[in-house]
Amino acid sequence: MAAASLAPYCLFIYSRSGKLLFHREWRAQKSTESGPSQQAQLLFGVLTTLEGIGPRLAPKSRGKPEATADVHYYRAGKYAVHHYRSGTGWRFALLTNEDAPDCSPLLRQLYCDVFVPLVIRNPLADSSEPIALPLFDHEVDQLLLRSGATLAPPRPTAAAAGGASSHV
Amino acid sequence: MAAAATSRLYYSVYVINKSGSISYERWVSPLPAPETTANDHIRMASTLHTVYNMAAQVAPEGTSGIREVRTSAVTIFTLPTPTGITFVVTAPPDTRVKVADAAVLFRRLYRSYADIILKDPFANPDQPIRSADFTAAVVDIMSGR
Repeated sequence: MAAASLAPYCLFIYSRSGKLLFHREWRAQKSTESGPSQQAQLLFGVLTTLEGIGPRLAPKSRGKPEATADVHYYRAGKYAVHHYRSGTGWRFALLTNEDAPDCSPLLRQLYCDVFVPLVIRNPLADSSEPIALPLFDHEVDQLLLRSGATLAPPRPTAAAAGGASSHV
Repeated sequence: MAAAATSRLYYSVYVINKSGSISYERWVSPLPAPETTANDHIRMASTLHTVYNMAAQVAPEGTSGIREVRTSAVTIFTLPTPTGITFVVTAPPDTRVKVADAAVLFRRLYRSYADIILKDPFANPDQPIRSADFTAAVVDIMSGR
């Protein structure tokens, strides 16, 4: 059986408080007046809400029940969202085609191999501010390509949170 | 006996009505059911409803209803219907069941719902469902017979 394809649509990275730090688009999103930040906020809300539902639906556990359960992915009719939340609260959400395989491990790799070295360990980067490193964009693309993704050329995000200047 | 039949594959079934409250629920797993208060039920169903609407807006184009949610505690399959009610089935977090498999289950559940609940002239679709026949059908479907 052929493996399902992976076509990333866009990637969002949030700080622990829900602030959007990074946004990269490979496929046109529904245009709203407020642009990507409204979609990003809604998605953050969906993910945090889903984290709270999980434990209430699971069988009674022997120990103290958890308050939240990690969300790995959800599938909707025409798209899927894969999610990884690091132990320190950074969240990575990847919108893809609806039948893409589980990309939560890929996002964990993104955190460990790209985000931590380039952002957390970067003395010149403020990790509470939007990421504006071309190298980061490049590394994200490379990681996705190595994992077998089909990437459309990334769309410029002129209105990225934090007002980064226009793309090259 | 219908009461003893349980499901190896699934945890529970819920029917959520148009207004976002739970019409029907049945725990079908041999594992112990979570302790929930009546408040929890109301909150859970309206939460799912809200999440549905938000997810539809997140969609890159058109609208999309959530079909599957995979978390570390549970897997949730949902079927939204044109009439506004939603069927929800939960399964273990590592289940091998896919959306397409759950679709078969949902078809049977939906058909039973239509036959037993909707065609009953005394049944009010907005009220909680209390039908032994429906429960028997649900237990049958969920235990894989």
